[in-house]
Amino acid sequence: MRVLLSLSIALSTLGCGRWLYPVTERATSVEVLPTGDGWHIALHRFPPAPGAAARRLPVIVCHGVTSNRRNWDLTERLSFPAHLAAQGFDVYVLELRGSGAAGRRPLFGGPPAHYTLDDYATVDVPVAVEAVRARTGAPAVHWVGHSMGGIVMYVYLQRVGGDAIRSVTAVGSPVHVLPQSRTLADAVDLLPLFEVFFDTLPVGLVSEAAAPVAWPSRLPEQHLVWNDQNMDPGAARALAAHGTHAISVGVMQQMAASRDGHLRSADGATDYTEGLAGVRTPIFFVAGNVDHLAPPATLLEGYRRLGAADKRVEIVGPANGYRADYGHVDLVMGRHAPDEVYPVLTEWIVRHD
Amino acid sequence: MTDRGGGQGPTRREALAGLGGALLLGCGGPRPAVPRASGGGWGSPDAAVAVALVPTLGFGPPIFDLPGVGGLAPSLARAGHRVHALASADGPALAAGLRALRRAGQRLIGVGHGWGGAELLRAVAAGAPVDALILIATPLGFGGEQRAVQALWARRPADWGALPAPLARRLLTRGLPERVRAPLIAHARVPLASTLDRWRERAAGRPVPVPDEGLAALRGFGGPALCVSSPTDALFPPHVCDPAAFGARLATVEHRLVAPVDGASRHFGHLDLVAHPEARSTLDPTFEAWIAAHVPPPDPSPAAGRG
Repeated sequence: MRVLLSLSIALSTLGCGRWLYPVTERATSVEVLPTGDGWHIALHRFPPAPGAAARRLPVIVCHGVTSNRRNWDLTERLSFPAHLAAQGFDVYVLELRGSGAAGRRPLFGGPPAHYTLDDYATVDVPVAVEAVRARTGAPAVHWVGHSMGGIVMYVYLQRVGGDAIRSVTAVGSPVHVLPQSRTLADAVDLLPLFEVFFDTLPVGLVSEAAAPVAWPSRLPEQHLVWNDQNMDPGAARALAAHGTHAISVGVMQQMAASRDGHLRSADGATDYTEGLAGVRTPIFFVAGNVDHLAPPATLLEGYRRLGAADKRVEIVGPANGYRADYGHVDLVMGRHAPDEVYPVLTEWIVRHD
Repeated sequence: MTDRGGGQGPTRREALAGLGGALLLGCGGPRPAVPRASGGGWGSPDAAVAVALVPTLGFGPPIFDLPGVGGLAPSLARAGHRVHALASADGPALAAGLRALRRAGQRLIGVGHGWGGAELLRAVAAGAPVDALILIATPLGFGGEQRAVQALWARRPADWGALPAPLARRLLTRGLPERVRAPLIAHARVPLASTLDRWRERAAGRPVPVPDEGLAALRGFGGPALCVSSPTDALFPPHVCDPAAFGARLATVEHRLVAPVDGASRHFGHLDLVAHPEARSTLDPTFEAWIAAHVPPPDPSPAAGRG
């Protein structure tokens, strides 16, 4: 294993991690938009499939922490945007500041490297929502987020609000960090050490380097990411090579601080966990039974706290009739996800369209 | 260290407690085919720490020491403790049974598995004299039970053996070896239906779990407690067993996840947590280390005992 790890690092140095596990683009177009504070976002469009049933509202699909569009769109089969487009939806995959086609920060003269969940939610998301509404003429959009992609919507609904969001599907999106796993607790404890050296955590570099040994999970830390038994080996390695990005320590600090049971704004003035009580937008909370980054307990808490009458929670795992145990990433990228998770998410969106 | 029909037999008081358990607790007690799980218990009666095991719903004390397999009871006895296995009963009756077991100058740890842990917490609320608690997959709240549990409620089987095998497997285990499954079915089953009714009453149609009196009892207990649960336990997963899942941060209570992410050798189902052979290497050392750290030997002075 050490030999493989060393080899993978060497290949990564040569930029070969992505070459080893190629992926293709399925979006028909990509638009990069300025956020007004020096950053950009990217919107990748998956238009409705010809002949599919006409739908009323478009869908924005957002990635999770340290990730990018590959979080939702990796292969022909592992692509929820393509699945939605085949159902007649006009789908836009959003990449937040610093991720994927949204561009990396230049070494000199760029915007501040330190940004937070508040920046995502109050700057990037409004730009994306308004852009999609403008291009489609729709009065509102459906929002689908994985992990942090759902969290930014919890924040947006409290800080920005309005009627632009028709429904939310929050997949593996905790309302605060709950380190039931000691491995996660230890990782959170280590964060201050990294902060000494970085203002941006170089997660993408490490992940690409480790792509050849991303599957199977041999280290406890790998079980935080996914249930490897529910991942296709090739997909796991391709995702490691293409699907991760560097991220501001500001986001990680904010999330790590929420281990006390309350996700707060960067200035500490607003409690987003408590604030869910004032949210009236329908939210579907989806949890994986062996997801240790977003344990079912934190999604159930979101359901309990949410003020909306129209809400649902589903724990995806064998006890609810699913074929596999679902971890964090495999909720959307698992080998069985297209067959048994995508239809459940789609049903909620269709019902609210 | 264990008393297996010879050597150190049960004390008179313990024999009475075992008889009392069988009569008062109303669940029939252990079957004669498994003499080691008698009221006499395992290990030396004079051990500094005694452990009372309470089984989960639909199972009796033999689950803790299956013939030809062993189990948690002899494992704890080998660690130097006196071990008793009680039939599950409602809280007050269980409290009475625990009072009868209590010996002066000896620490008493209550160990509950699943529903047995819930009853143990009710016993604690009723004044059971325990010094520490180990709660294995023990629910602290009810509601939002998953579809496999709802199917169990709908069928309301007389015992686990009356349930279709695929559903029973989904609910109870992530793969018990046949050498464990066979004696479990042969020796450890007890009636189930009335417990299921009580469970359903507590859940009361709630869409998601809310704290039950078990969490209140744990909060009121105040002593050291170790909760362990597995995310692949279909009956009582961590979202009903971890106090933090209900927003409770209790200084004396520790929750540990049993899963590969934290070094477990495999995924564990509900029964696997006590009956799977790998539980011996995965969980028993955890219990032993926790007991050593949190349950000090009693003060040798004559006035120190609580019992």
